[in-house]
Amino acid sequence: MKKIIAVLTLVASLSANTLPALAATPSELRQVWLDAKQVRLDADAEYRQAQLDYKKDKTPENDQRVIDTAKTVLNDALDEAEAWLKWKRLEADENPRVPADLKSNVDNDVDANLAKIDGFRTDVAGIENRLQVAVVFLKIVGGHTSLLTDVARNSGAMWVYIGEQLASKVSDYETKLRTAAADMSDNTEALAKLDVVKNELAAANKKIALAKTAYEKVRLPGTPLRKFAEANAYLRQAKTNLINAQVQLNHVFSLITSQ
Amino acid sequence: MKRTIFFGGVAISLLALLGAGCAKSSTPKTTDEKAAVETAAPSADGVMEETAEATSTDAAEGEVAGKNETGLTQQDLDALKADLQSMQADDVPELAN
Repeated sequence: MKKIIAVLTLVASLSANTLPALAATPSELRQVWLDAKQVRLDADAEYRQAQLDYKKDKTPENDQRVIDTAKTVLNDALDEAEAWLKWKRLEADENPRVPADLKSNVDNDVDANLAKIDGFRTDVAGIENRLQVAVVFLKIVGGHTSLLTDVARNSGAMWVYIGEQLASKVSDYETKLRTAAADMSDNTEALAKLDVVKNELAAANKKIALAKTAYEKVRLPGTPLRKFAEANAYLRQAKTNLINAQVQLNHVFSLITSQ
Repeated sequence: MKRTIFFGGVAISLLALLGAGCAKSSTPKTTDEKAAVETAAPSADGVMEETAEATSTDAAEGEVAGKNETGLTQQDLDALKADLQSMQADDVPELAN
């Protein structure tokens, strides 16, 4: 009986740790990434302070603090990258609009890069002096970008795909409402609003195309994460245009259905 | 020993079922995600025909009432709004910054 209780306790304990991970949603994993980013930024501030203290007073204690804080910030950077990759994978997996080949690309890239992170962790664990800090730091700064580049490019392709679908839906709704507005006794206001929709849609399509071009340039060598940020900015502008268009569609729908 | 293994196996199976249930049904979702899930149907072409049929029925009822000749419903527009609001594009910070 004691053995049974022990086995059940063990299983319950293991499940308590694994079930929350199974039940995570993309937005929860995004929050895990944002938290990890903040932890890394805090650790980075401590590392910079340790470097300043060492410059002022080159004691063995300050030397050791530089090494310890560097190891912490490097591990935190790897945690951050790992959290981002896991979020991206779940975001792609759980989105019904993402085509299977894109999901598969993201999945493979994430697996490959999580394995690379394990290798970097071994490098960090082996740091014993400030020279090794510099060597490993350079290796990981370069490696960090390469860890994220492929997944960033594929995520961008996914967002562009979704953006194009939504823009197409706005266009479809605009056509339907314009057809219905043609039969209205007074359609001046409705047609003016539908013209606004057309303009917003044209602007959104232009931004989505610019985002697509920029995402395709998320590659090494170069500055892929800056290209990624540039593409994201285009996509956020497209989102604003499409939301403006939806507001106008809503007005026109009310005008037509209230007549 | 056999009994221990048996009960352990039963417990693992039950917890695995429970875990799968948690992951599928009781996962807390944000409003955006709920909206995305609820609104995915009309936007995913032919993926969830039941909802598409429901939308068509609503539109037909509107037409019968003489109020809606657009082929759209307010739900379609609300779903579009939720889809648009759930569009995300977060930057990744560079370590060298």
